[in-house]
Amino acid sequence: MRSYFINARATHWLLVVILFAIASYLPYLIFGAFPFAKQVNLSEDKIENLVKELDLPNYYDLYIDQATEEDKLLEKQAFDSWEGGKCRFCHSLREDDRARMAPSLYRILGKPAAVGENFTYSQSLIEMRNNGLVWTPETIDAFISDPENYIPANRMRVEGIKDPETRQLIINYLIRESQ
Amino acid sequence: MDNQFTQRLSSLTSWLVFILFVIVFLNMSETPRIPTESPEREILRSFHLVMGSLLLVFSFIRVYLWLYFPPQNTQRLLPDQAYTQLHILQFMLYISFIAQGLSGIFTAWSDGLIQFLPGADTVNHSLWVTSGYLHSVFAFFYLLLIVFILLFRIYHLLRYRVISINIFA
Repeated sequence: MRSYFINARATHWLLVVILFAIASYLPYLIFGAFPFAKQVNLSEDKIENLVKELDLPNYYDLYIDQATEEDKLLEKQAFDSWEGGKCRFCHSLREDDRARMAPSLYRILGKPAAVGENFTYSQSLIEMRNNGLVWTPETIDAFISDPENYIPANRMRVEGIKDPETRQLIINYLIRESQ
Repeated sequence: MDNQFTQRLSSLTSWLVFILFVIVFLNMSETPRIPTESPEREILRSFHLVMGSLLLVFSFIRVYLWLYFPPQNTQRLLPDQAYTQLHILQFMLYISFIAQGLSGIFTAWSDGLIQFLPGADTVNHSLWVTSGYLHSVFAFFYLLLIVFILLFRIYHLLRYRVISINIFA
């Protein structure tokens, strides 16, 4: 092994360093992952202040479950599948789960943007929250139809869902699974 | 250990690492397409932990053998500098497997997937975020290393007429 170090030129190691530098950036570029948890959670009062003047309905209380078994299967497929929204690959919908690759979507409707606990949001999403973005069926529909256009420089690295029916199925699923 | 035995052991561990790498790579390519919280995902994740741990152990053995009994340039036509360049990349490949395995253990431990003390609360979100990011970084790193090793092999074939199919040395 010593002979490697003696014989190695600086360019040999430079290549290794360059490859490692590229590899260090790729998880952020491709998956939108962030290397450090630096989220400062907002207090309940501050979250309340962000929505108190909007007079939003409680989407979960208003929901009347009239979905057939077939509808429920379609909703689940739209949320889960690789061909559908791909949401399940990063987002959790369980009440007792924590945000991992992406914030939990449990009871997301009616909440301001970027207030999930322990998640490191992009600066652009925090700015949107400060500008009054609240998640409603309409704003979620607009966001998932073209994420990069709706919130430029956000870290959700997926193409938009162009099919309005799939988007509606996903929103229905978000409401039903958070009951 | 005599030289012949060491060579055989090195060759065997290289092939074992290669086979384990292929298994983990296929598992890693398939798992993200399976929805989280599904039984299939749980099975694939457990399989990933077992195969990844084996890959870590055999990479350790390979690096030990490499350090104490380094591979020799047996190709007369290959210049020493070209040989050194290739073997640095191959050595870093094993180092990246070890780093990948260690960061994977931290990721699984901080997510509560593996526990060394039964019942202990080991969930640590900050550690999970950083070790998970590093786990991904090392995966990209060894993929890039493999691409460059293949490119160098092709270059050596064209320029020096030296052929070798084993990218894992």
